[in-house]
Amino acid sequence: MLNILKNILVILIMLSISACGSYLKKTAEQPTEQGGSTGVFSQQIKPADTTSAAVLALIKKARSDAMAGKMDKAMLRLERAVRIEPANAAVWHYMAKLFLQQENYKQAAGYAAKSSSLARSNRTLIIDNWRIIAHARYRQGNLKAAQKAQDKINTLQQQ
Amino acid sequence: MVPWRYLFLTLILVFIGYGVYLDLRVQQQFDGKRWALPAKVYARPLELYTGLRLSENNLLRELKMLGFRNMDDLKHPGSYYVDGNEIVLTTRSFQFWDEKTNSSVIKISFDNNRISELYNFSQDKDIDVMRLEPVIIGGIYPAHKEDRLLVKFDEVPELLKSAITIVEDRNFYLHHGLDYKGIARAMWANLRAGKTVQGGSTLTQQLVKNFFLSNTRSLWRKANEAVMALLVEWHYDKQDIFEAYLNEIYLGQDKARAIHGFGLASHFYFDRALDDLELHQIVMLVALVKGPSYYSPRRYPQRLLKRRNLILDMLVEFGVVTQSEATAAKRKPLGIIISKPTSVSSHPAFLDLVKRQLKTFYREKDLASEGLQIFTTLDPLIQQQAERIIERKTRQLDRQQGLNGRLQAATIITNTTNSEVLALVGDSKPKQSGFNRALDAIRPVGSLIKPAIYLTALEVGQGYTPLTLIDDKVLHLKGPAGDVWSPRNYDKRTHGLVPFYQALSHSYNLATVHLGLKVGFENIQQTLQAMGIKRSIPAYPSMLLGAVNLSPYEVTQMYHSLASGGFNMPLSAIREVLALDGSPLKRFPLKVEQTLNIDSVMMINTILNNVTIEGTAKRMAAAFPADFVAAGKTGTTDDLRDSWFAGFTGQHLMVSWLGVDENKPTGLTGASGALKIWIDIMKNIPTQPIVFNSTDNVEYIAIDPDTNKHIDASCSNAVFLGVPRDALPESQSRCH
Repeated sequence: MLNILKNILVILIMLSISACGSYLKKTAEQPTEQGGSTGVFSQQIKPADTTSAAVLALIKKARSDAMAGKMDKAMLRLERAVRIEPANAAVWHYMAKLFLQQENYKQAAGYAAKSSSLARSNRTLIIDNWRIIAHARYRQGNLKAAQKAQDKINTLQQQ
Repeated sequence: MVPWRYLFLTLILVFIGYGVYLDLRVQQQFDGKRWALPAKVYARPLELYTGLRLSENNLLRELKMLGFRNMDDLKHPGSYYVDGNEIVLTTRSFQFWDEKTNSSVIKISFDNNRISELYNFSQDKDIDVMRLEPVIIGGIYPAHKEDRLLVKFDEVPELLKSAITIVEDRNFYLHHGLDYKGIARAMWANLRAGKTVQGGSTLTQQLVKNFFLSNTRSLWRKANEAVMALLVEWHYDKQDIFEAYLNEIYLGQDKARAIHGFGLASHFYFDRALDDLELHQIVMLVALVKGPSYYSPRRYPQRLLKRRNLILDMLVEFGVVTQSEATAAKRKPLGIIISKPTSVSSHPAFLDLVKRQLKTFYREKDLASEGLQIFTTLDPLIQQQAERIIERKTRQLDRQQGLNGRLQAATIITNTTNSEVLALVGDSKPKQSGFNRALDAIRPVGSLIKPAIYLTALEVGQGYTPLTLIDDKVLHLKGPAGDVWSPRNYDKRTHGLVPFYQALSHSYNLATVHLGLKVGFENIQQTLQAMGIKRSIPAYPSMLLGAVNLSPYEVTQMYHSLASGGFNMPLSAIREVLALDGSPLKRFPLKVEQTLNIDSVMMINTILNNVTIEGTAKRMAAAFPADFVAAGKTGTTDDLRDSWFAGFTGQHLMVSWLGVDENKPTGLTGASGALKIWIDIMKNIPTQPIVFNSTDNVEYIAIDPDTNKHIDASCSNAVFLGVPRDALPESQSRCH
């Protein structure tokens, strides 16, 4: 009985993830460098207008590094960016996605939570961060917590 | 007859055996790794971009630490000049973990202590962001503390090679290790002078002596040297031997660090690469070979100048340079730079932390021999300020309290964003190595524990908010052995029902114990764990008042979870490690885990902000301008033995401790001791204020401290706190 419930939960999560049309499906099933890196710097989450030229330049470089499959370099550029703008929620979000790509789920969830703590009223960003957390928890085998994150996404989307 | 034959045969066998042994030693040294190369430890690279808060003075301090020279022309990398509110400099090329940056001419314009423009003359364009090379803050050395920068034979200027052979071994390319003519010439010269004026050692012999033998003057050592020189020449070609010589020869001393080889000597004396040296500089290095102490450029410049000019004459004699070139070179001074801060360790306590963090990944032997390049998080500008202020302030407080030089100090400063350790001091005399109090002084933390108790209360779901009234009344607790514990407030008074936030702001002991007993030891222990404390915390009542022993490092980790807004990030001192050849080896990315409720942390932080305005650390409000928003907590232990302050801005967390090693009273509270150091250091660090924003669940509102009601933010007596939206107090239209 428990197993059946578990399977239903997994299917529900996967369905909801694909329904959102997010990068998550791509990263879960096709963790290719090219596909994944486009997802990391998706058009959906853009740095705030107040982002400095220095941080924008570093994000741009990180994007080309990620496109070339140089994930460590991309991460290093983003680390430089958060040192310059610690409260830039978008940068923390990109880092979370990079970790997700690298299948470092614990860090992906941590960075996504950090991004949300700085996102203030940016609902799109907060929802996308919850998607990362849901996916990371699902990949870690913590289905109950993944479902909780999914519920949070649903609530936020309804608001 | 027979015994003589045996004796002769035995001697031959011993001789051959000894020869084989020497041969093995020679081959082992040459074929294996020839030198143990110390790890180089770097500070963080200074990141430059438009808008950065950086004064011209601070940039000049950084350039000084990097050994940049103030010059009119910018021909050489590592030079700069100041022109009004602009600094123009030629950077050096540098291999970072992710990329190699080339030398460029950069203009940095300043406006009101900020960078207003960054321009790259070499590429004729504005720069968005760039890094200066990082300052070297020390090394991890083998026991003999030899340091060198390896050079390849082909990269060494021909002039240097010619000068060395002319001065040290004219027949180098002709002999097989020993120069019999040279020995005869030296003997004749020495006989004529009646003392040793000339040596007959070849470069190979000098190399052998440096590699394998001592400096003692004995026939036995000379015989070994000769045999080994022949063996070296038998096995290896001249180029290989010359290259080893160029890298091995001893050329000076930098405190405990021994400068070996021309590659490092070139940087040490002139801050230039070997192929960038001018004639007079190359010749000076050759002049040093005869005796780096006797000809020390800092102690005996005239002596060295005389020898340098003598060698220039020799070069003319052998047709290596023209007379006019030599004359021009003779007119030049020695031109050595003021030593760069490359001593064995500029910041011993921080380096100690780096070594401890590296030990998990590298063997100590490898750290001292593989030539690793370790990029750390240290901010040398902040570290310098911290060291200067701690030394001065501790001396002053020591005198004030009559402690006869026993007052000790430890301070750690981190970046609240990423838990990087920016500065660390473990002694009231910061340059002194030894007991590292920042890491190893495990002391009772006093009231620093209280935020964990109040945070637990907000998290356990018993309905506490920052405005809940709690009882600050006398209590007597009976221990298991029948002893009675009767805690008291610092002011020896009770305060009756007080708001939660005031109990923490004023650090009331009785209210805290009542609250702690209600929320339970186990819950508090869990909170401390979530705050990054790994040590087991005792579950008895005095724990609630800080009878918990932690090091300043552990306290920093604990408060970091508050400063970062509820995230546990292990403190980190290392960013990356590169191999000797510049290839990337390891990165230490930041680890982030949300372990505390963000809303509860925000509420606690607003109370800790109140501590700095009207609570036990109100001294801070008077010391900074109104837009300086910080949060913190004082800590004082029984009989005033330990004085603590842990506080943070929006960018920096600093934990400061003062005490005496023998655990004797200091007469200092957290506010009258450690807080003063915190304030003085923070005044010298450009930092960002904390920004409190309301969240979905918590509203940041103004409160009337007399009525506990919501008032207008413009009221002069308003206290600003985070309060749960579902427990907001009534509003009051008028200010009291």
